[in-house]
Amino acid sequence: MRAALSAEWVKMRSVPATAQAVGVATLTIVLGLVWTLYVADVAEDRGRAVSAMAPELGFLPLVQISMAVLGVLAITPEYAGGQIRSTLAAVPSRGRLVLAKAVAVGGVTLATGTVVILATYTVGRVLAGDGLVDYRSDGLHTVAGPVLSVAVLALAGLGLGLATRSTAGGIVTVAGLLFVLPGIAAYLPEPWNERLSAVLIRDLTSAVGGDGTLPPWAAVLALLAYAVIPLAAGHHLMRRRDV
Amino acid sequence: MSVLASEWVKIRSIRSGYVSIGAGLAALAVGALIAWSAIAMYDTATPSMRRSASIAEVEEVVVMLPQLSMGILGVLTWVSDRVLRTSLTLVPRRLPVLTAKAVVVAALGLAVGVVTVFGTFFLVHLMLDGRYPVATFAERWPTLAVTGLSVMVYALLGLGLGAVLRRTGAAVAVLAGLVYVLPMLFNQLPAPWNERVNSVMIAALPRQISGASLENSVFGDILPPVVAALVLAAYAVVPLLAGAWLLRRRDA
Repeated sequence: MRAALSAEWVKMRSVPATAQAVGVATLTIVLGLVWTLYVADVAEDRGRAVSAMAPELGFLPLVQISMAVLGVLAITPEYAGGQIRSTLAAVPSRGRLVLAKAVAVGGVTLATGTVVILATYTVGRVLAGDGLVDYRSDGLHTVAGPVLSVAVLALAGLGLGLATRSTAGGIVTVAGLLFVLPGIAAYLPEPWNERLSAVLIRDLTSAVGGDGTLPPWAAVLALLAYAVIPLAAGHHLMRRRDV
Repeated sequence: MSVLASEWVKIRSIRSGYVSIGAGLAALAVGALIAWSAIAMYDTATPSMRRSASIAEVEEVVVMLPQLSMGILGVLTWVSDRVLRTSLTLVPRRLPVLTAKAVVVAALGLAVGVVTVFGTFFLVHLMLDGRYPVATFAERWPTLAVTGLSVMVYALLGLGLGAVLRRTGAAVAVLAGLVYVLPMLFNQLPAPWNERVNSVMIAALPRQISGASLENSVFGDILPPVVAALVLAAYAVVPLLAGAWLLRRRDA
């Protein structure tokens, strides 16, 4: 297991896509900085408190999609290029391979998500100063959901990449989960729109911090299911199919 | 002409082409599902609730599926072409290959777009059978036509991104970013910039071209129809031109 894990770690470290995806996610800190300076400026001009969107929540989709793409790209290029055959010759156990990839992807994206989101949160609070800017979202419990959602989406991307064996298929499915489904759910008639929205990633992300239909513990479990189900499906298909 | 024929054969022979077209046509099923659940709700509602009942334009919701899937098809037409180098050897002037691909994906995008948008409109109308107050075909056809046409623009945009970026992951990520992430980010800009910038986002353009309202959405509607039409065309043309330029300059 250690060898499989270190092999996956070397792969992730050596492909440019990893650094590019992490780079795009890190842009969030810059965007949050610019946003905070702007909002603080507006508040100063008006001389009274202004409420604004918190940068670590507003720019979260950028972190989510870039880490989800990273998860997909942890597996599909191996299928496209044929290296999957060498990989499976070296690590014949499908379970061990999926686990090693999941640990590498989960570790990298959880670390990236934590650093980027906490940094954006901190920059937003420190630079806003003076108490004139109200982000309506304070306390570390509000960033737990976003951080968890980032790692969950990356693992979902990995699982969907394993299941579809296609870069386009994997990215598009995870983008569909994140962006298309909430749009369609909103147009379902009541009460189905709220019921479906409550279990979609966007609502679960805020529900982890206590701001949602589901209680926090249920939201955490539901988010974890978004990671576990695609990974289990990908593993199952990998065991059944030839390379 | 033979270049066009060869591109047509190529697209017919890749599995992902059928998957994309199938995913696009699934919009009809999703539209029927939305209509069916709306009917179930209407039939159990009280008369006073029925009077205030309303339903969104289902075909403009489900068109997200063919837009995305045909955009992906556009990307794959370039990046999944395993005999691209052979084609470029046979056609050393290069540009006819890109043009032929553009013609093929544009035709498929237009066909899938028109079928799903008009199909969903009529299907939902037939299913609702007068239950909800919905606009007539005469009022809606300009928006329906432009929305169907927009699927073609997504397909050409995908092809252009594929030709410029040449990697599936990068092109699909940029396509998804352009279509979904940017409007969400720009929506957070302070007024009036959120409305201004979100007027030129691709999803805001069909309704601005047909002159329909975009209230209650994250999108702005400050562009006159002609300008909106030019912007929509630019989404298809600019990446393709960049791809054509790079194709002539780069090694394949």
